[in-house]
Amino acid sequence: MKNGALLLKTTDELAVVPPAKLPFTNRAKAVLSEGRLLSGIKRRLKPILIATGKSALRRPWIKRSVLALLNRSPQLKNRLYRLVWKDISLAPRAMRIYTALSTAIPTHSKGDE
Amino acid sequence: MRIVIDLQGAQCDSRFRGIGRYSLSLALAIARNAGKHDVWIALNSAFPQSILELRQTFKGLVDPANIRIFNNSGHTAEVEPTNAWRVRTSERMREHFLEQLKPDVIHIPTLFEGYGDDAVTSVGSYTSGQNTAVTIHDLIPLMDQANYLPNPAIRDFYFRKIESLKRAGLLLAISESSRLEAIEHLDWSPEKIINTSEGADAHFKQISLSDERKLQLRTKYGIARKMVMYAPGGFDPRKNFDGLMQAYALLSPQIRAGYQLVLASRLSKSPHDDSRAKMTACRIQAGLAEDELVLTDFVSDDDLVALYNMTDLFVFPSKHEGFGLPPLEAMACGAPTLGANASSLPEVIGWDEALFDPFKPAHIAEKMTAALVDVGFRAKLKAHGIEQVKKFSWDASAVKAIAAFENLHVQNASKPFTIYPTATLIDSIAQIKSNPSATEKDLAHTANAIAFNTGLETPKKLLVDVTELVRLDAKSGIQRVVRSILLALHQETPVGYELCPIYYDGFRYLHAKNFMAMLTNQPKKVQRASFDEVAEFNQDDIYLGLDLNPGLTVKLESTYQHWLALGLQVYFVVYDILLVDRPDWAPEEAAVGLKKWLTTVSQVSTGLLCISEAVANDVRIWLQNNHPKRRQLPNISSFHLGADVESSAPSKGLPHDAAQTLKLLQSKASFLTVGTLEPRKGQQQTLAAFELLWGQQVDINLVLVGKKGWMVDDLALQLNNHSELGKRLFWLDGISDEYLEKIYKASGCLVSASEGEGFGLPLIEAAKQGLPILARDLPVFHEVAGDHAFYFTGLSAQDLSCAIEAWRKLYQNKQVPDSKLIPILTWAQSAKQLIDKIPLSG
Repeated sequence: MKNGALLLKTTDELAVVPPAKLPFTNRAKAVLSEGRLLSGIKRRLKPILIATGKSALRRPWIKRSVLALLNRSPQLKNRLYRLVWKDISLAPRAMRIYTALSTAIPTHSKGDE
Repeated sequence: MRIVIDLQGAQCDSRFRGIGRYSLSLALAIARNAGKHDVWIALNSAFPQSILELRQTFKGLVDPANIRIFNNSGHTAEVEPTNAWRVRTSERMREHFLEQLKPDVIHIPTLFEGYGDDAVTSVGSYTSGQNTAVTIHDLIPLMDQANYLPNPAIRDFYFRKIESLKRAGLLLAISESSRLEAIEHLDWSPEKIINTSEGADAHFKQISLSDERKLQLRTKYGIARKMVMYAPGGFDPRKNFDGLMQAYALLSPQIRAGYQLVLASRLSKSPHDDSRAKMTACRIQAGLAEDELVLTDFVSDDDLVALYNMTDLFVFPSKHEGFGLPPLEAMACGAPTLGANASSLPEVIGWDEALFDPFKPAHIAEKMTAALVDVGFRAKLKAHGIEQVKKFSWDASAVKAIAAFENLHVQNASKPFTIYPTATLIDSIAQIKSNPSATEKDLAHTANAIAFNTGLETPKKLLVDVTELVRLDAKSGIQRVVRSILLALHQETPVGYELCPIYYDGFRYLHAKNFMAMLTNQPKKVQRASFDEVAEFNQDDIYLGLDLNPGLTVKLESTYQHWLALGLQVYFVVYDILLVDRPDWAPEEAAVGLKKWLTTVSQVSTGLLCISEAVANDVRIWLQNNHPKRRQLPNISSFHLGADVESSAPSKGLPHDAAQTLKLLQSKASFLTVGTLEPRKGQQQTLAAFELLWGQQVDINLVLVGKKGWMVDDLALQLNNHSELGKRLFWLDGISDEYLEKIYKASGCLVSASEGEGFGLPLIEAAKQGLPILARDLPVFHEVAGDHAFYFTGLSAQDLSCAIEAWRKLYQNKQVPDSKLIPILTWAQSAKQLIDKIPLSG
């Protein structure tokens, strides 16, 4: 069955017939029909966004503005913090102190101790 | 007066040394002799295991709430130059933390800590330091810099500490000798330094040793002959090993043939400081045979006391000491003791005849010979030592220290007391110039630590773990309990506490605000605005593991252990431990999981709150047979569950055939069983009993309410294919609380044939409806229902069918026990019972 891959749904089955071996149009159709297009874009864009975000946040004025904005919306703050500073998870009071420290102290990198 | 003792000396690497022993012994003695003064202990969270041990050590002496823990900003060992920013930040944070405790006097028993570990000490980095008293042990590195401060890192460390020391308001010296050294070398004012001396711990005393014990010690440490002993407490040059070994070589061959020189101290094994190699070189140079020198390496306190009691002579030839605790301890154990006439040792030994010049091996040898040959002299040494040691005690040292603190307090009374706000601390941290500077992670650690250290500013929290319920409300009995108690606590939170439901999201605990908004039926707008933020933990908080989640609890064991060390009270609710004794009642993984959970909670909890006294007894027996690896067992207590369904966020909804089913149930006597279908619940026996009765033309209904659980595939198949299904047999799977209440009302008797229960919630739910109860003769059912239920025994269908027939006869004669007399709690009362078992502070 030439276009059989379109019917395949499970990862195991896809592993048996790799979609990469199918013609581009068929692969595109498969991606669209299975709703994988957005997830693929997200997967590729997310690290770029994170890297850009991290780089931008090294500039004190950007960092200050972002932190000021984040402090107004706990919802946004948590989402962005999870995205950008995955390893920094702070409770609200610690977050306020972190913001104050971050504003007052220039840091050299986000490296390990 | 509030005395805050910074007890890191009993936590860090120094805890194995004399300084650690000094810190702990003096702090204990201060606590014992504090009188009207208030003693607080400050500990560093970087050493969590020691916190638990110290909490236990100070039990009964210091209020547990007065043992306060501080966090620092990460690794701070000064041996690593990249820690510089963290060191300086942590010094300020620690001083800020101590000021939050509103001390009148802060005592630092040992300041020179933190070079090789994460201890943090300073005076005056952030505050004035005028209310701080520091114990000075000696100034040996300052006086012998070539030997003791060989590299710039150690030198910088040492001199920074000296600068800190100079900012203290008071110094406590451990001997007159060290007091004079401070006055001379620090140019310190004599009025601001007090000699408080030291003492020997009470367990250093004369004991009688059996021949067996002596032989065991000789074998353990390789001691073949009589002993001349030295416990140097270190292997640095001032300890004068070469002098001692040269002196030993000068002893007569007859003496040397009868004795061995025993050095009892932990040997350093680092490649650049191999104590064994150094001692061997020393021995060879002195001309001693290999078997004349015994190196014991580490000796436990018990063994040390025994060795002091066994030795013929104790010699302490050190050229310089701050105090010299080993000769005092040896004398306390009745060992004839000789020592150097240098630094503090004449004060400790207190008899010129027992002293020698440590720089002259011949003089050392002369004194040793006299002590070993002259029985009379040796007896005098022993008698003198026993008398001399009475002049020293930790209690006496503590009394002197407290008097000095009182003076310091009086001097500072006129000075205004300031607690600086956190913003000031942040400003101070921002002034720190160091290379390398801070990283983002440093700032996050620091922020977390400051938030923790300033936790006194926030309300105490009752952290209720509802992870399982947030993830999936399976409508199980346990989850009904969780919902009901949570709602009751929400209605009436203990005074002084803030209710904080939390759940673990795979990475950390979050505050379940959104879930709570939904549970309490808040408007949609409020629910949307209730965003779950990272939960905050402080040392006065209470964690309550209300939900049962064995896998998660086991996974987070170290977290709970850490919380316990930090001063949180950690409680878990125990619903039952039936599967521990009866693993055949469930799939293997469930029984194994429960056993692991029980092992974990017994290790990490302050207390276990059982839902009945029967469960509490089971847990107590289990703990006796499976003693956890900790000094203090968790408190075991019990509470009872509530029965008002309306307070448990009941589920609603009736199936389309509800009216018809209820009508059928009301048409004849209906016997109801409530509970998930499981092997232990006895539904198989119940069905078999009813089949017998139906066979005997007894026209009664059996109603099974409950979901299909584990290991009941055959029973489920039997029920679904039963000829009486829908006629006299009803299986209602996964019905709402609303429907269940109607079923209770339509039934004539509750049958509980369960072989094991934690509580038996259906009994009190039935009692609430006035439904008579026929139950198995279990202790927990007696605890819940007392004499107000009819009990049966036996596991066969015949046993139960006979019991049903007997019950029916009683019923006809209106003699069945009245279940309305069973005491019933509301969920609010149940939650109150639970909270009453937790000692709340403030």
